[in-house]
Amino acid sequence: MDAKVSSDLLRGHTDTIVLGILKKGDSYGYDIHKKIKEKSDGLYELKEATLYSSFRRLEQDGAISAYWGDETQGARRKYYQITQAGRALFDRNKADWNFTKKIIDQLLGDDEV
Amino acid sequence: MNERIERYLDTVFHDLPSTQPLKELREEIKGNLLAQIADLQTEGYLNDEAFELAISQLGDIVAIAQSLCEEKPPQEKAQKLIAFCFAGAIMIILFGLVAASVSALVNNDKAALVFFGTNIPFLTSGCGLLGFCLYLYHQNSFERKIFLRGSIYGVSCAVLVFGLLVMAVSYCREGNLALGLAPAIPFVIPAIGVLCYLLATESHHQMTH
Repeated sequence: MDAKVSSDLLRGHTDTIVLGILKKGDSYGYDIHKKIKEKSDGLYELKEATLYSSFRRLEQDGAISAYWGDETQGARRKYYQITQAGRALFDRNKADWNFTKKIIDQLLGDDEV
Repeated sequence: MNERIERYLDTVFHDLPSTQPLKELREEIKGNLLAQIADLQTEGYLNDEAFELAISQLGDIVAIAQSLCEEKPPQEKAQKLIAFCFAGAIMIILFGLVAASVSALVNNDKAALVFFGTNIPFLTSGCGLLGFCLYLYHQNSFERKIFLRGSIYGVSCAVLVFGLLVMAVSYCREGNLALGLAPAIPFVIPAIGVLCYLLATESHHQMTH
């Protein structure tokens, strides 16, 4: 596998990954970007633009809400907070993923095909 | 570094309208870039390297910004409403001016007094509505916050115009500048105060360029 993957497969789960991070507490774009990189041991480094479109989508669906921080220096940061609907969406997506993972594992098999 | 990011964002947002959602996206990107660059600098990157690296990881920001521009459908209705209010405001003002001119011609012994007096309800409501419309049109956003701010603009414009007309009427009646000014002060001063406050907080509210 490439050192840094940026595949469509992974990108399709950006929203769920973001929700998973926000479940642990409010956060802002760069911090979320950094956490994804750290949690994947640097293997998955997404473009920030991908994150911005994920935020817009999740916000429109009511899964997250945004508020501005009160930084006095530099620029204000836009923080995101997971909503009740967002938690439900995360649980549903995670269950879907576990199901998919099981099926794909079975279908692709290990050795005794 | 701050200025450098602003210059970069200027080029990115160059051809895009300055709507509220785009201004917020711009500020959000700026906040994240600053945080990332600060992080890279503590890792030992030099200013230039840190800036270039942060920018290279942004990805296609223009596409996101453009998609925000295209989110127009819910606003179309509001834009129609604004156009309608705007036309209404102009009609009210014009009607008031015509009505006031006619009454002034009829009562030509007190022409100025009648002219200003008749104008009071029309110009006040018309200018209030106009202030409200122009602010919403300028912001091109119909969020509650903008709506509320627009309403305060509208009301202060109305109070200001009302105060100025009262001033004109009482000046015509008293024929004395001091006596003419006095009744208008409770309207004009607070309205100017509120307008100044709104204008002064506008740059902070929108963010500074």
